Amino acid sequence: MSSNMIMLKSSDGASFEIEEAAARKSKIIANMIEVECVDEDKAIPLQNVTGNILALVIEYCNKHIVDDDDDVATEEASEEEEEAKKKKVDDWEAEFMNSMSLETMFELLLAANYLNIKSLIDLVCQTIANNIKDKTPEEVRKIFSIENDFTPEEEEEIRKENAWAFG
Amino acid sequence: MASSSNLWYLPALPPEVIEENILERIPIEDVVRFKSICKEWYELFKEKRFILKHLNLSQERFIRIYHDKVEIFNPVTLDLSYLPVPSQLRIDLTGSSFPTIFMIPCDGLLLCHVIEGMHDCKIAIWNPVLSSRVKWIEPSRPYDSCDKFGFGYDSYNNYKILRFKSFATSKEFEIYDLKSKLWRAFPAAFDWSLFVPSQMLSMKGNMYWIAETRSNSKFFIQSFDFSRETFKPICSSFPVKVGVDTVEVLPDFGEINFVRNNSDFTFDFFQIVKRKQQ
Repeated sequence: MSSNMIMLKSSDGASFEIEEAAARKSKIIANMIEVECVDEDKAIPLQNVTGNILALVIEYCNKHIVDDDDDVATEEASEEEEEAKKKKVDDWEAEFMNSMSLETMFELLLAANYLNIKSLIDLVCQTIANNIKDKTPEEVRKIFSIENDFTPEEEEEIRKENAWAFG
Repeated sequence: MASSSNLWYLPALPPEVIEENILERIPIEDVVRFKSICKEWYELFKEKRFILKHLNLSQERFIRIYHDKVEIFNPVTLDLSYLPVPSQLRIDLTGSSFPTIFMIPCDGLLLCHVIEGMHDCKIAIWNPVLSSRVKWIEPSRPYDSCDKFGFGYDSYNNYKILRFKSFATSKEFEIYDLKSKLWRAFPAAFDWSLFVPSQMLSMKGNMYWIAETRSNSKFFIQSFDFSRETFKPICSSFPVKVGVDTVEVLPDFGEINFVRNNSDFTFDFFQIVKRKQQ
């Protein structure tokens, strides 16, 4: 695995040094590296990501690049070891997401979406999904800035509607 | 966690991210609750693509059926919920041998067969997680207590109900399509009868029963394929053990583990579908 370092620059001017292998977690950055638009001396500017969010993205990528390396190295690991490793990652992810505000989650999701980091999108979306599951429809509308385009009668009708798993 | 007062400051997420990544991960109970949020979500939740993706991501849960309630158990989170049987399906169990209710679970939907008298029978579909109401299925000709049913789906994922009588002379085989809402007769014949009390299981769209050959009273597993609309015995030499209190299908028969170990055959039913060992 290459240990090349590359520089990333956030929208508010903060610079971060990151291992190329970790940065490749982002499809966008990986593509930039492939087509060689990365100048070794220059930082890659990320217009849509602020420094505090980019720091979180980098923390996630660093953590997961280490795990991916482990996977390659211990291909013949026993089932228990695999499970223990998976649990370690799950625990880390739970800790990483825990205590994060909804606002930070949203910004992190936007960044992961922009940088195209599939596993981070999945993680944040699952956490947001867990977060909204006990909310009322009115709270969910606020969270996602959605306007209610139903009349009160229509809304009542839908609530009464008999629901089926098939059309 | 963000309090509701600062929700207004949340950045707006692109609708496709909300719809494709977040909503397909919320539990089905919430999908139903959130139908009234806006027209776009209402339409989205009805799309086949969304339904399939949601099914794909949702965790499998076990269902245990009683005459007055069902239990839904999530083996991962250990959540256990009790859902009462709708009043439409409640039967008075204190009387004589009638009435009876059979439920056949098929991927979360239940086919409920209510027998309140020789000529007083009805069937309904109930989704216990989503609804406290049932959908009655009208017959093409009146149901009676000799009717047997199967519940599954074909290769196009259309749910279907099989109705037949387990007599050698019977020519009455019908299939109801929940999409077209129509009954249709089809030809079949058999030289077997169902084991009584009936032992049945719907799995991966097809129906399975413990049956008995007429010629030499051997027990075997009979299946019905809803895509081909044919009955097919499975592994006739298979050791089906029939005892007084226990009926089991043994040992590692494909993906079925069919365990029932108490004397209340009608209501206490555990369906365990295991993943095939690699």
